[in-house]
Amino acid sequence: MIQVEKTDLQLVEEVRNGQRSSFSELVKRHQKGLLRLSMRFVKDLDIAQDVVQESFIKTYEKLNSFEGRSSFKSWLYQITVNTARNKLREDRYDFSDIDDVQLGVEAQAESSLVHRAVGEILNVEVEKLPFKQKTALVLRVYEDMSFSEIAEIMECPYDTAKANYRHALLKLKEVFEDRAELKSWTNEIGGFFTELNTKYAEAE
Amino acid sequence: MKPNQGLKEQLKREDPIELPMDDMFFDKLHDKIMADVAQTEIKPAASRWAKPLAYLERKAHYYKPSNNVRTLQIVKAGVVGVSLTLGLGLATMSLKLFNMSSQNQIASNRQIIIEQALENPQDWVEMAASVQNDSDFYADVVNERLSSSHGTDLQL
Repeated sequence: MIQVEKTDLQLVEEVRNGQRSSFSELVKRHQKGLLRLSMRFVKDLDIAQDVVQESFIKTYEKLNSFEGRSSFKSWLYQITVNTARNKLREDRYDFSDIDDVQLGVEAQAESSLVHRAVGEILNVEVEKLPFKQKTALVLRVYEDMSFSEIAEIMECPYDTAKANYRHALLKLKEVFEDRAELKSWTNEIGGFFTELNTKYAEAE
Repeated sequence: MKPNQGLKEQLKREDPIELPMDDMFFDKLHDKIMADVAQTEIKPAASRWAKPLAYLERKAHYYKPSNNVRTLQIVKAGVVGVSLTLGLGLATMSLKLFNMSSQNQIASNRQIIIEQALENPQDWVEMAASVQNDSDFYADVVNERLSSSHGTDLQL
């Protein structure tokens, strides 16, 4: 017999009716995604776990306030983003600095080293973005979300979500244009700029 | 392949996030969450003002002035200054209004007396004489004039 998987909304309704075990299913379903999202903001596995735990507790407590205007996933992600932001405000975590990028390794691994350094610079630049722009970029690029979903999570209009994403890309593009090593690297990997421009144009 | 697919993949390739992949880790996390959930109750639905209020509270918390004591002193001085100015202003205005109304009243009373005296001079003289005292100079003058002119051309 084929067992049809229940939707998030069905599980939410069951939890509201007192079936706590259904929440366990929701946790199983979303904990990985939430942990990954939290890690992008707090950069520490232990703290990210705390954020996820806190987010699920808040979600459970506020379950009666969930009106179903957005998807449960969007609501859950919204709570997690807000929790992570509060965590950052409370603790003011120290993010990795651009000076921490190490370049002193064997010549043989030069190519992969440049690649890694560039990757780190890219990540540092993403970290430097304002919170809203970073959130839009993270949700769009890493979570593959639509602008409608991003708008729901960020509690802002569709166009604002799109503008935040566009500004984030524009800033990254400026960084790439300013730094020679990134420029040469992008030439090597073939048309990264072109892709960035295409992406920017698409967002426009 | 979409034109933007490359960029996404590129950024993903540079993704610094490394998550533990073993099921045991996530089982542990799940159990931890559910243990907390077991001790939590679902709250009743919040009112529609809960969110704006929470937002305002948060704003008030994060944008608190840095020098509280000084700000409080400035606010207190401002409130005292404004109160004093308002109080003095109101007192001055009331005094002026009182003076104006008194002057109007006096002028109106004089007019009434003159009209009555013109209408019926004899009665007025009698009435004035009945309440006359040593300092009633005007009554004396009127009386004299009336007696000299036989009550025909009364002038005050």
